[in-house]
Amino acid sequence: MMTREEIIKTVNDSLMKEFELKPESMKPDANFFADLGLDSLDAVDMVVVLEQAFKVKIRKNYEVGKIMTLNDLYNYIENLVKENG
Amino acid sequence: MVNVLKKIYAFPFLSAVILWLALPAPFVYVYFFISGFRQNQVRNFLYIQGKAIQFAICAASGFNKKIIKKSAPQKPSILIANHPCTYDTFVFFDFGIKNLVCIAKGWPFKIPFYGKFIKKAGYINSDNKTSEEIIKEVQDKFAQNLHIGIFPEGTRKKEIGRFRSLAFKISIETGADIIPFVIKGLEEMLPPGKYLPKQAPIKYIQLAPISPKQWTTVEAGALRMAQYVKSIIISQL
Repeated sequence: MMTREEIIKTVNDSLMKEFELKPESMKPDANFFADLGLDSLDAVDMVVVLEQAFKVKIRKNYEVGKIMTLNDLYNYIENLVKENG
Repeated sequence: MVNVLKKIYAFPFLSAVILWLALPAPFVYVYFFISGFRQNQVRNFLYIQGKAIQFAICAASGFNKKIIKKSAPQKPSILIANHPCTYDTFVFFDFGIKNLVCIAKGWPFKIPFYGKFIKKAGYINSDNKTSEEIIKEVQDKFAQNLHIGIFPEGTRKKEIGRFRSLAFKISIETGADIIPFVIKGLEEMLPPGKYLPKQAPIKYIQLAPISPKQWTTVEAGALRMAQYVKSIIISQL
């Protein structure tokens, strides 16, 4: 089972690589739209990238729609990994 | 002496042409309004506007502008380019491509007159739309034998930025080729945030079409294709 630190590192590494984000922008409270410059169309790519990185299936649902910051994403992935654990 | 004259010549010429293009817009608008905004007519008007702007850019470059063409695309394709300058939208017209609509964010649609023209010409506003909704609109455009123009960086950048995957997702979903264009020199002449042109040599290059076939079975194929096409463009910069 991955630890939260491992999840954070995997999320950050995957997003930095695929979305060409700078390490200094990867703060837990960074908002995807306002701080990281991503948009709704990027969300589709993000799902693909994270599914590949964690070997899980991310469903489009209400919970995913509420993810606004990196910390929200870490929490969501952590729960998903536990469920699939 | 010739160089000094070229520099003096560039700015007033560019300003005059842009002014000339802005002034007739209300009159053309009235004409289109009366004639019912026929899409072909509006696209032809945008083509003429674009050609005039390209001529102005040529003059501002000191007539140091090169265009490297390949044969015109025969079937509806997705034309993409790097995006160093406001006027990049008009680059495709320099290759004689008239049957074109672009996918753009909402703000160009709010520009007085021009916004209305591009809307009536059939340009696609991507704001608040899912990629599935955009693909559906693109399929309708392809059925009308129109090419789709898109700048995968999304916004103007002096240094080439990340290519978003929308154009490549469309390519994979529809089977349409991607035709990359390379824009060189406009980042020096008119970089983002600058409105006074600086003389610089300009070069536009049309590259060979890229089929989406090899990415259709790859996981995250659109992202991988975006990265590949970006690398092809970078190799020409």
